[in-house]
Amino acid sequence: MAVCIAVIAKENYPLYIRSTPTENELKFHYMVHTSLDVVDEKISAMGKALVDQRELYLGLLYPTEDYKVYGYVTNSKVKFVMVVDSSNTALRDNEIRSMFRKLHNSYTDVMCNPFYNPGDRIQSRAFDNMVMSMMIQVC
Amino acid sequence: MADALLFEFLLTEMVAELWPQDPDPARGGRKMNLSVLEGMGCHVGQALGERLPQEMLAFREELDALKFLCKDLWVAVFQKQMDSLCPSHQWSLSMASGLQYLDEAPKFLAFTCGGPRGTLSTLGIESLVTASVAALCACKFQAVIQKSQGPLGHPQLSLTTASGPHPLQVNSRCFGPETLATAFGGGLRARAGHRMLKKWV
Repeated sequence: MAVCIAVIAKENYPLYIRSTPTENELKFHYMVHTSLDVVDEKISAMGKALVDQRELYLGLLYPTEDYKVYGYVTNSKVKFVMVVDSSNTALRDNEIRSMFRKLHNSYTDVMCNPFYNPGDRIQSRAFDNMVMSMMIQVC
Repeated sequence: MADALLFEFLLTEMVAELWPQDPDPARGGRKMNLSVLEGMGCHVGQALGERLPQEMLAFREELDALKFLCKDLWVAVFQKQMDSLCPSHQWSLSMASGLQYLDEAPKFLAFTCGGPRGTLSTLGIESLVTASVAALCACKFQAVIQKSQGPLGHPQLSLTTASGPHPLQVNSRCFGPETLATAFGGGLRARAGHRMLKKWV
């Protein structure tokens, strides 16, 4: 479903980035990097918006011809970026939201691990497994 | 409320373990242990700072983060609400015979000072939390927020909750049971089956 998932820290460096191995990974890294600008834009726009519209889920950041990029930001300014295949039209907004929610829960579990120092790369196997389960393609 | 007791025992043991009877004055033994406790509290606070706001909307500004700290975090941890942002925080302790144990109080507070500091740092606010025991059954927390670009000085934030002295008392080293919640204990990855702990783990 998802082609690439990235967790970006507050200071905009990647804590975790994983893409499907069949594709050129560098392309996805670049897409995630460029999407950070859009995320920042959305966050500052949200700051000026009405109270009711404050949300953690940022929605579609930008579409390209093959892929769509979605974003989500937590209260601790950690960003999740997900790149999804455009050809998979069955994927609805709700499903993306639930995927982000799962990501957030797993990330919180990683944070609660006393052996994890905030700011390190995420090396948790449980987190890895959760991300892999979201990325398994339907052949 | 077995959770609160569990956490109290844990805290008591932690302090007992880390507070040596004969500290080595050359190495500043006591201060080092207090900072260990405070660091533990900080880490727990960071974990809480991730988990508690999960269901909430995004914080737009510092004020939202502070409101969260005062209302949700404090209620979750101490089951008491803060009255307002400004006045000073008071929280009841129960002591066997008050004055005698005033010296003992600070080492228990180290962990609890670390908690809000950790949470604030997760939310993006660098701060320094200190506590002082003025009278028998009262304790003041002061959070000084350090603004990175402020040559004008640090705005001081004092947090308050009004609570009377707790009637129940177990022994001289225990806090009043209901005031400490297991939310901190949950941050230490204690996998208890209890519903309250489960929420934070």
